[in-house]
Amino acid sequence: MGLTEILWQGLGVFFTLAVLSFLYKDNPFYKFAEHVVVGVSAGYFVIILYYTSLRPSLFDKLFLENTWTPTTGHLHYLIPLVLGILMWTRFSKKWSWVSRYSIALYIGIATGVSIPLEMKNRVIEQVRGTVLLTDFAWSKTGMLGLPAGLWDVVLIILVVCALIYFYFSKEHKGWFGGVAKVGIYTLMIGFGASFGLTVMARLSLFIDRVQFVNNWVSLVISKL
Amino acid sequence: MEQGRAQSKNKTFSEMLMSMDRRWVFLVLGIVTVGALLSKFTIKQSVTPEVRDIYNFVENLKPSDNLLVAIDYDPNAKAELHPMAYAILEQAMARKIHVITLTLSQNGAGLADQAVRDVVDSVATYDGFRPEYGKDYVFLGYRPYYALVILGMGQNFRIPFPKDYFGNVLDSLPMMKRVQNYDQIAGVIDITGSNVADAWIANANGRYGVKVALGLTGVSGADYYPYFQSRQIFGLMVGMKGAAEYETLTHNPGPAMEAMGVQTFAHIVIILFILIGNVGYFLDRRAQNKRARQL
Amino acid sequence: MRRQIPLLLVFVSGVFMVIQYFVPSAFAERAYEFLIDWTIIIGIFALALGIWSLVRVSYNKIRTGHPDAMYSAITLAGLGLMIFFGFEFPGVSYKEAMRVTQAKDYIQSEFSGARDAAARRVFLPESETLSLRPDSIKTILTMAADSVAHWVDIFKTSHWFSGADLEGTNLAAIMTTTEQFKSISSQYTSVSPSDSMALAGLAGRVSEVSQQGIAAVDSLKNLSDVYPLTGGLENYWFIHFFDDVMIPIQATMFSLLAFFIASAAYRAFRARSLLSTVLLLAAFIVMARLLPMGPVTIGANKLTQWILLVPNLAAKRAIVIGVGLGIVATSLKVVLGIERSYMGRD
Repeated sequence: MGLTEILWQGLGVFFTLAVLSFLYKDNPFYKFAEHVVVGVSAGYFVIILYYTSLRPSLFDKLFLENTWTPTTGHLHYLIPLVLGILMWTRFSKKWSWVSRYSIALYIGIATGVSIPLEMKNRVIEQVRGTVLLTDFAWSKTGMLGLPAGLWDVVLIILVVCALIYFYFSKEHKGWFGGVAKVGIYTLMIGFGASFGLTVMARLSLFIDRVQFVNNWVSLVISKL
Repeated sequence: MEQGRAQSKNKTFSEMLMSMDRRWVFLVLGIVTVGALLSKFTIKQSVTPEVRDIYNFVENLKPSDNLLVAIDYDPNAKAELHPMAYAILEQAMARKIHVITLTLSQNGAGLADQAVRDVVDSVATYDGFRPEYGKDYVFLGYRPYYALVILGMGQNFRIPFPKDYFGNVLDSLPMMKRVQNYDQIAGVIDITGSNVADAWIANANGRYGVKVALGLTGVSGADYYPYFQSRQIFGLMVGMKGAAEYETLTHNPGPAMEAMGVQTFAHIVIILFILIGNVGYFLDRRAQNKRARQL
Repeated sequence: MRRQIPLLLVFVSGVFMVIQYFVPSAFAERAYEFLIDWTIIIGIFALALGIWSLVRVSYNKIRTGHPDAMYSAITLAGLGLMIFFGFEFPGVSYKEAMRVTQAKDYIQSEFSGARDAAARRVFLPESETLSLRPDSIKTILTMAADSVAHWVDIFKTSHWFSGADLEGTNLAAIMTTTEQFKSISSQYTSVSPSDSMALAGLAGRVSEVSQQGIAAVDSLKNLSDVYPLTGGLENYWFIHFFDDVMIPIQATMFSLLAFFIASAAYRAFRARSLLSTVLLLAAFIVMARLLPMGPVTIGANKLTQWILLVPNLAAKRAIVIGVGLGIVATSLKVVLGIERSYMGRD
């Protein structure tokens, strides 16, 4: 690896240490890195958006590949072009109402498409998974050495209890309150598991940075 | 000053623990992490069934089957997810499976490009052949509005992606001539740290029935077990441990396996901090109860 | 007009997309494809609004002399620089520039690879390393020769170098080397795999010719690397700013969370009640599976699997169902015009 590559990676190490210096206290190096990344990310996004999305999906079709005939051309792309430009009237106090047409079409399509899909995937499939996909195999050994069928039953009970906890239209008293209490304990175990995994996730991010700095230092030492 | 000294003398052990500057916590964690990395401590990984299912799926694909790998993460989730991407891409490309990569994350294009380039070089070095762009693998690039892009690909890949990342028309690529939509795709492996996973499940699997597996960060991993149990996804890798398990299965040790050794020590530190914090809390509570009884 | 037509648009498009899911007609499929395609394009224009906001806010800070004006200038400089690096000016061949820059490295690696193949991987009965059949070596050498010729051609046809630039190089010697490679490779077909002496002789020739090639490649060092300042997604500066500025900063910003979670765990994670104790215990078990404590770790692994696949699954399933019902309810409210916050104020 040449000197230029080492210098480029060294720049990355500099920025890594600049951001980590925030742990001691806020300082100009951290602020510098923070503002650099905001600008560079925005610039990167502009280029990516233009060259990989807008140009091939719209401009090439309208201005390069278009035959400008109703049957074989791409004249219909003028519609999203106009609607997209209308979106920019959002910044004008006088004309911002025009942008509502573009937003309305976008919102209508996005929400319309999501209604049946979310209902199917988050509700129907999940209920199916709870009651229909469980095979209640009492002879098969499941987790913790107990029958697999037992855990299928426990799963159904716990799902129902957790769902009942979220039903706030009835007061959580008596037997209803008892079931809701089982539900909240189930939720707490779930949140505990999430916390445990989150700790691993956050630590991974820092370990990766330490690996990065360590690799660069080893590289520099090997070149000296 | 005399008063200050007197006050600090009166501070209980628990009060001292609670009022400790958090930068000491940062320092301890930093030192332990760096030390553990330099010690090169390793720990064997036990493989979970949900990770093994993904590995077996890719192993059972035939050469020239089409696999879609969606690299949908930003640099902020790179630590956990990049090793997953490398391990899967290398396994697939070494077996001459046709890989289509894309990204639905706005800063993911550079990461996906980097991963594909590195894996192609690695396969050329260690497996004796260099995968050819357009014939063995294709990188479609980035499009915004992931839900609509996933739906569009279900009709025809050319709707959201008329050209690939490098500006080539899709029909000019030999591999893509045979690929119209998800019907020609054996499966989708989505590697992400965001809600894109929900869109792949709902739109790709829910509407078009294509098989989907997920590689997720630890933060969101636990939330997707319901989808695994209901068979809406056929496999699940969670966090760096999931990546390390996959590296174990592919006999391709990488940064994830190296990091798991460091995770061990860092976890010990976190557990100790929680225990110390709780010890301090209970001592404090006992002291307060004692004071209340005396009053 | 200003509110009624948008509401009508939302209703009509929303209802169409719902019905289309259940009606498999060719017209509906075609309309669905158009709408998906158009919506993505319209959305791209919306994303530009965010960039414009950033520019406006930063510019205002600079104009009004805000204390952070210098940092806003840095933000705008970063934005401008990345756009400059990534922009493709018409009439300039950036792809070619990138390939010319790569050409030197590729030629060098072909010769080194051939030399190493001859030295270490030649088929010798007593060879301890990987052995190749003669026809495989022939293929490797032919491929290397073709590859080098291809990259030399890129230099010759490039617009980035003049005739005078190329005169100082030894491209002719490199081309001669490729011819010699092909000549040696054809001799491999007449050698028996058990004839170690002949194979060793050919390997020596390959090694010798490769060394000549490597020496000839040295002359290319006189040609400056072509790193145009601008030029698209594969531009040198664009890629390096992404790899060595964006990735480290973004990744490190999120890595700070590791410290904050440690600090929060120390200060706030208390077993105050039975509920929080249950949460704490579940977290401990999940974390304990990473500790090297023999049977304790094995037990923690099994318990963690159980936690993830039974109580955690139940909890998250309830949440998923609740969220799903909420999404459907909110979407219906939007489509039916009950929820209108997306329209803003008049």
